[in-house]
Amino acid sequence: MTDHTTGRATGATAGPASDPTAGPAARPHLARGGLARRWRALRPLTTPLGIALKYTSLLIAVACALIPLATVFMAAFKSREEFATSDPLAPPADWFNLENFVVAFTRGGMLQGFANTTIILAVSLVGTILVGTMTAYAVDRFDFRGRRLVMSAFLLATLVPAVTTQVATFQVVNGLGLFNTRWAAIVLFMGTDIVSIYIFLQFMRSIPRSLDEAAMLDGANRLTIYARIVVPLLRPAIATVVIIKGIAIYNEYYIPFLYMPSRDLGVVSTSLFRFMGPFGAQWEIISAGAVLVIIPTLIAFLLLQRQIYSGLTSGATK
Amino acid sequence: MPPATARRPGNGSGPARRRRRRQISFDKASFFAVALFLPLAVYVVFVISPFAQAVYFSMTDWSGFTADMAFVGLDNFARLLGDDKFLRAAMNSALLAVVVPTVTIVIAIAVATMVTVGGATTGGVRGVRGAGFYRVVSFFPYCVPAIVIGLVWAQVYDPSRGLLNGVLTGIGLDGMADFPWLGDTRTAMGASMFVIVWSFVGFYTVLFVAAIKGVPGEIYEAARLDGAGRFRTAVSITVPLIRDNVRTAWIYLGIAAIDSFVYMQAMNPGGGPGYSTFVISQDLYQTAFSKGQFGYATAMGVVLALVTLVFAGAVFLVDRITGGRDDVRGHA
Repeated sequence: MTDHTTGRATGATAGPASDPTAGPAARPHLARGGLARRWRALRPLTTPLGIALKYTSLLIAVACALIPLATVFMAAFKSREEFATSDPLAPPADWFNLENFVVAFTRGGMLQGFANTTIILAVSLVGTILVGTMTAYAVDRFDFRGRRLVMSAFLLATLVPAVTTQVATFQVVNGLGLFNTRWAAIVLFMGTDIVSIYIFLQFMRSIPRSLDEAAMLDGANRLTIYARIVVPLLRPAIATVVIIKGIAIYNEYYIPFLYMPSRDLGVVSTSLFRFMGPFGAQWEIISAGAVLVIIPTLIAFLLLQRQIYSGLTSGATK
Repeated sequence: MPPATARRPGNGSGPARRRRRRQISFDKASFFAVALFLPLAVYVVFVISPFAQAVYFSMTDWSGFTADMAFVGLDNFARLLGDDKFLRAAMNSALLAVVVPTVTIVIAIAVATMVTVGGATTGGVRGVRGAGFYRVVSFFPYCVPAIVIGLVWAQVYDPSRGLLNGVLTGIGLDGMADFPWLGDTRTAMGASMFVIVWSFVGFYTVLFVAAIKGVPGEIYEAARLDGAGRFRTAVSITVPLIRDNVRTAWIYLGIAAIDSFVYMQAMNPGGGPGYSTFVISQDLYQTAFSKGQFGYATAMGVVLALVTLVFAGAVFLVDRITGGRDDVRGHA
């Protein structure tokens, strides 16, 4: 309230044009009306203190996000004694000390981890795209009884935590002879994904039905329509799903941890966790492993940022 | 034949649909079978059937290693009520379900508001300078695997060589030297929660940024002209307008927080000091796969599912009571 009056007083005496802090709001034609008064009442929020407060809070947030990652990055290049004695925030003495990375790769099984993750990632992504696009095509383009039932069945999985059915799922996977094979992870990633089906469905609705009908008139069968019309038009949705699902699979820990306990089947996340055993509290080696795991995601993230945002917001806000 | 249907004026109603139903060709039927029933079959086998089996297993004394199991009715559930370790885990999970979503959403909305409408109060409504940079930085943790996040923070919290104690002693708090953040019953849970919030905030910030961008700028300008301050604008304009997103975020965050397996496993695999960070998912894993009590563990899973459904129901109920339906959605 006091600001309010001050604002008016300033406006009346000095005049908006001569007030350098008023900025673009100080449009002369507004200065006469009540609008301008109210407008100026907000000015204290743009004072140096307000700005400082705003940017300080953002900088603290940035520091919270970056510093832990930065210390891990630096720790990865430190030797054992150096890590034990130096300040966590101090840069390593030798930026080319790759000893920890060598240990992580050779004794930590990270190479194997990357190979397994790549195989699982590739097969599950292709599978998810096939399953997702086909389901979306079938659900959106065909009228059939029980469509609602199918959709609500898919929804069930999002509300029930996976841990609930862990024992039973384990039993199914084991019964099919998939336990301790890569197929366990592949099948679970492929078959239990509702988010990608929703993304495909939304894109599907934007493809005009007349395209299908025109192709059908030209003698195309459903498979041809699916392969030649639907899939190419769904390409943006496919890109979105590849990104979202790719991140999720790469980051997944529980499924490989539970279903693929064999050392040879370690993926990046489980291999890294196994560092905790043999390397005890050797943080510099664990750090090197963590850096190795982060690098591919960092590259993918920086390259695909725009698509990740648009994909997530189109897929997840609705 | 198809063109006849296509040209029919009565769009999609009764007669047209019946007509379409009649022309099921081999082509349509076979594609339909492959395109829908194959995915559905996988889904039923790996998601729906385990769910049904879980309910049955939870009422048996099955060990998991042999085929024989006896039906014991609700005994497992009765046993859970007297299982101190489980009750402790359930309390911790419930605490996580309340605290983590609340804190995450408040921070995410605050940051999202700042980068979208928190900019200069003069001129058009816009975000602070460098908003893109903050968005990139805050979002990046989402792309870092949860296990890495857990390990990174376990290192930050390390009593003697960790970053946190280094900083605290550096600013003069010598009492904090060697303080075990994850090894003290008073701080272990709080420290773990902070990490979980840290890993989620960026993602939800991006979601809220997208939601806020969908709100027409004139609404903010109008509020500003009416004299609403920044906090007031956030509470009275932003939150009601992105209400649906907030509700969805609350449910997803709650489900993720109730689970929290990866984070807890990375920071305190044993459940923390005095089981202070032990959660249901860890108890379930140990009971099933280390102790070989599959039936009992499944009962835990069923309880967890019920807790989750109650949680989701509670979020919807609160949303309804606070007037979720008739909000200020004048622009829609």
